[in-house]
Amino acid sequence: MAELTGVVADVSRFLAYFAIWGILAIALNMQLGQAGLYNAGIVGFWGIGAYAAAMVVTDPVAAGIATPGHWGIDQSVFPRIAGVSTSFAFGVVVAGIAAAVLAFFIAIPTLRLRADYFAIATLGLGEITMRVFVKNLQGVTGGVYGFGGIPRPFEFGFETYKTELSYFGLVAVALLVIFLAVERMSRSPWGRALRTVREDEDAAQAFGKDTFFLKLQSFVFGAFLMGVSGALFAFWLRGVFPPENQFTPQDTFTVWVMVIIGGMGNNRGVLLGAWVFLFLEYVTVRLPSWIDIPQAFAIKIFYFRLIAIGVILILIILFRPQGLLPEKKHVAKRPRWVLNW
Amino acid sequence: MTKARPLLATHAVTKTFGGVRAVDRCTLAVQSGTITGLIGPNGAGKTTLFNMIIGLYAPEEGSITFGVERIDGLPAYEIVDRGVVKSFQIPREFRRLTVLENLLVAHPRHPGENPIAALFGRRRVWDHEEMIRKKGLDMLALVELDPLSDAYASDLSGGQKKLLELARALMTEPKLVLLDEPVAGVNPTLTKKLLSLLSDLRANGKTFFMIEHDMDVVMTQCDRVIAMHQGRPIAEGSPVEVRRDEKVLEAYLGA
Repeated sequence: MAELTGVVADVSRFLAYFAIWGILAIALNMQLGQAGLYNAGIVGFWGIGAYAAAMVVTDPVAAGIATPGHWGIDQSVFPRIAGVSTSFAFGVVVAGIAAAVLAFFIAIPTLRLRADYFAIATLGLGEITMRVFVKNLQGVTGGVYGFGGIPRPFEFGFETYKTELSYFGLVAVALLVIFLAVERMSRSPWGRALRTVREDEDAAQAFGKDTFFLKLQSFVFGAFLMGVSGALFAFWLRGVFPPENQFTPQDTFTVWVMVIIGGMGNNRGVLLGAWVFLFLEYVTVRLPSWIDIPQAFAIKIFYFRLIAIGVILILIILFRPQGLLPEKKHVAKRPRWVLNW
Repeated sequence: MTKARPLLATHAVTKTFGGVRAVDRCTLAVQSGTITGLIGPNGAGKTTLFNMIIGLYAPEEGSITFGVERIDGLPAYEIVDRGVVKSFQIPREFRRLTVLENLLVAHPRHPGENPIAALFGRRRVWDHEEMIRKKGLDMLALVELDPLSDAYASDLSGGQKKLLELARALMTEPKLVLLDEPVAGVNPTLTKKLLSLLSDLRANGKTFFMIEHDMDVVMTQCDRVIAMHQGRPIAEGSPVEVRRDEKVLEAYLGA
């Protein structure tokens, strides 16, 4: 029994992690796959979301001798519904809005840049956000220490498997809702207009599309989703820590790899890409505990996954550049339900 | 013929690329309800002039008026809204959209092209979509691309892409259509059909301004012809007049 609950906890924890990255992949797909925006600053939006949510769900901590302190909200202001604090719902929304606002201000000067220049600008601004601001705002973000002690919405004390399983359930619902919403939006006339920008921005302008505004909408909405993912990640990890501990550009490139492997423009595809990437990670971490592997090799096997990912990426770019699940024709269709307004 | 206010007029517009004055203080006018030809040797500035009219380039000097309104300096998407559209010389189809979708996106002022409507879907949006879908299919039938409506635009042949360009331009419900070599690369039978389509549309009140190198097409189709050389017009008149103009012959044959 103890063993079974251990497996449940472990698998739930992994699946929740997968869902959090899945949301990131879908968010990048909204920007890159639909509007053709080369966002290389994902980690900035993800990180801002995580920090914002973390501050909403924790009490403020004053600076002390050993701790820099961080902002927070006195948790007693949040009403509880059936014993669960509403602070988490606020945290998720605030995280999304914080990331969207950051995206808006980054977009104004940079959205005029074309593809690769936009990538360089967003990479730089994402790093500035995390390393210059988040890492140095001592009394606000916990500075170089970050801060822990972030609760989950459902806590079951020593029954870890219940905590992990319930959190997986919550994140899975979030992923599902986001997936359905983004799918619906991709299939709409709006999604189609975004794809004209991706295909040929000048022609899109010449045929009546306000391409700057469309790109802005896609970028800000994608960033909102990244912020939401960041909030769910902060609760999952129970802490937020600045770069080099968390939120490094490697996270940005991981999302890119997921989207490229899975299939740019296909939301199911990018989820598959996320799965391939994270499953390899999971297996290589757990393998030594499942089967007998010589000690010297057991330590290194985790790093073999990086080689495997590299090989998979090269093979896919060479032989299946459209990804495992290529983009489908998104012919706009009347959805099953429409509002009459 | 009484001179009415021209539908389109450029006044001394200039555009330079590096040291080259591609369009040099060019002043010309297109009368409403005509098919006006624009001829000239390669590098005369014809396409650059077109790109300025539709707002892809801003003129460095001069002004452009459409009807009574100045349109120079407006972004391209606002100019197409006012009824000026261009079909590109080298087709610029949206490659990974279907042929039909290429037309649907060109229809102006779609109420569904915002994220809120996209997420919450309104009946009005989908009724509109239905309406322009029918329109798009009719338009495709007109250029005989209807069997390919669900193919990716990138899968069309060169000639078919030219037809798609034309159909897409007409889909914007324009008053003035700028055609940049509309029949280059289109087979003779279809060319004939296209040209008769243009005459029909002109009879229905549309105006065409057309760059064309094929002199047969220019002679038979155009009411007026403007010849350009080194960035400015050098002759204007009926096709016959322009063809006999010495300056035009000189420009083509070299002095």
